[in-house]
Amino acid sequence: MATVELEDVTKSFGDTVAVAGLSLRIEHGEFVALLGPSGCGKTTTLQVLAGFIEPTSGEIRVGTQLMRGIPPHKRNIGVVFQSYALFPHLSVFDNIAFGLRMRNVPASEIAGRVNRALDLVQLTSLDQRYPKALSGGQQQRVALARALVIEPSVLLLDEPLSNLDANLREQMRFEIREIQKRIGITTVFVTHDQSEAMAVADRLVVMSKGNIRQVGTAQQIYESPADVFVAEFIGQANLLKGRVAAVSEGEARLAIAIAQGGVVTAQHRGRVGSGQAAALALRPEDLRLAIDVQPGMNNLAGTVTRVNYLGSVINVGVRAGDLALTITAPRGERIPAEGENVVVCWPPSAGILLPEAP
Amino acid sequence: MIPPGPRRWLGAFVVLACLFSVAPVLVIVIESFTSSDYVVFPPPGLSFKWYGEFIKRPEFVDSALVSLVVALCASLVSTLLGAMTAVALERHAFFGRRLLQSLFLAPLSLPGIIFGLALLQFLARYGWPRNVVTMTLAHIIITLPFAIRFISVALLGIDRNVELAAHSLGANRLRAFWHVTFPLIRPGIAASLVFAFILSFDEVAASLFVASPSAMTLPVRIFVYIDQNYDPLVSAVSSLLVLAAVIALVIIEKTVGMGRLFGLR
Repeated sequence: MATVELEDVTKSFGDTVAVAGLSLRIEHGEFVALLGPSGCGKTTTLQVLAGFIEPTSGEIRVGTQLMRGIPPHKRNIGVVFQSYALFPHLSVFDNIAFGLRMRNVPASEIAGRVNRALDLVQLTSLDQRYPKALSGGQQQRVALARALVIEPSVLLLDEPLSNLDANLREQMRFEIREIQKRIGITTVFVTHDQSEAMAVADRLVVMSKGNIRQVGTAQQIYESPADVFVAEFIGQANLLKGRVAAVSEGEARLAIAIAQGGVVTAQHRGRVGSGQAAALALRPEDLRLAIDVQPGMNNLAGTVTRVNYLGSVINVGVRAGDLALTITAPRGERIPAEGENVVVCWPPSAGILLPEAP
Repeated sequence: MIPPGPRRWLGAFVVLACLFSVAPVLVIVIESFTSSDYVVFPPPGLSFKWYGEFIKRPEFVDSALVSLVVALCASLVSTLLGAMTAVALERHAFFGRRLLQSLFLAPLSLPGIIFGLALLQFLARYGWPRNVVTMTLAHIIITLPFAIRFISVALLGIDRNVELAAHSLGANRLRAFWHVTFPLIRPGIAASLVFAFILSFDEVAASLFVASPSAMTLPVRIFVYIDQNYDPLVSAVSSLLVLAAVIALVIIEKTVGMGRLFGLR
């Protein structure tokens, strides 16, 4: 169990920079998710942490120990791969015992520890089976037990749930979190699925093109995304792009760039100034549908393009000029008809005003 | 999917093609059991006497032993070198790798006679003798490309992450190879050993040039014998060679599967 620190870590493959000057500190016992689209550098970061590849520059510390030059077999790190990478020629028991045997743990102790690990992942009766006779979910649990039985200081998981079907994925993500909490091991979890990351991680690290865009709890990232990329990647976001016309007190007036023109009011929170290009990010649940213009609110007239009844919510698509907006209304509200003229409204306090990338 | 009508014709064609390839060999094998003193098909009567004759000829038994020793040594060394080469080529990306791969496979493109001639000149130039050792060397060169190929194919079938997993669990390079990679490529190694053995055992073209009175493999002995004689002894010895090849193929099929070896499965 230890803290993990990445200091200005860079990894390039020839001309391609996979990870660019990444700095991050993970606390002891913390469950951190590295989240981002394909190619953002999250898997490369994990491989650097595991020692499978050496960084081009920068330092990695586990606890107080510098990891540079230390090969993977000396790092005391547990890894769970996306493909599970179980040893096909060994039984479940021998797969899990492998790490202990490499450490010359006496045979009497091995049996006890392997059985405890099997209990932890609830696979006690399957210890004599071979990997090819196991289901995806079972293989995943064996991979987890195998990584944990050696009592590593850090647990690394590389998209471990990607190969499972949706239901199993949801169940397994909570099981992994349970186990991690029980043992209290520092964990780094790589995923491209933002709802998965939000569900299990203590903190999320949103990455794009080798850089960290934002680090924070699920709430921090959802409520206050740092930039347009994060706003769009986490949850859904309606983006109203335009230029800041005026700023006063805590509020800014944004002239949005749509055909019929229009000005909306939002809180600037010190992030944008007058004349700047900016985007207002609004979550679908921030927006309301009304028949008429609502006083004291921002209003946009539009036409309903689609209505999806999803059970717990109603998802409505509205076209306002050349903007396509998505609104989520809670169950029980009046369901509008396709083609209806509506007014989309929201209070000035809703949404986040973000500076647009130049 | 092929409709049933044409499929029957295709099946018949395949059977005929197989018979066509195998028929000459079958004829020789049947001939070897003849009771007559001359080669005739079909044999008038059946007898083991020509196999008995083979055992009575010291030069044939000698050659059989030479072939056995050469084939065993060549297949062992070839497989060992082949394994090391295959692992290096598959697991490490380095400058010039493609070129080296082509270079290692080059002997395949050389006709046996040309290679034999070149080797003979090489040996003569540097004053090396023609004996069992140089014969084995020739056979190693001829079988090495196959060893490399078989083990490369076996390596390709292993998930790369399995070795990384072994590393993360505390196995250094050597231990990861021994405990994880080696058991998984064992079928490939077995196939390489057997295939190299049979290739060497049956080799004629290059062996003709490198052979000497002290080192004459069985195929070469048969070749020389036919020049002067033609009796069922040749059929008997040939049948023994065929038997060895069949055993080898069965072993390969049981360990790796012939289809998979040539990428058909």
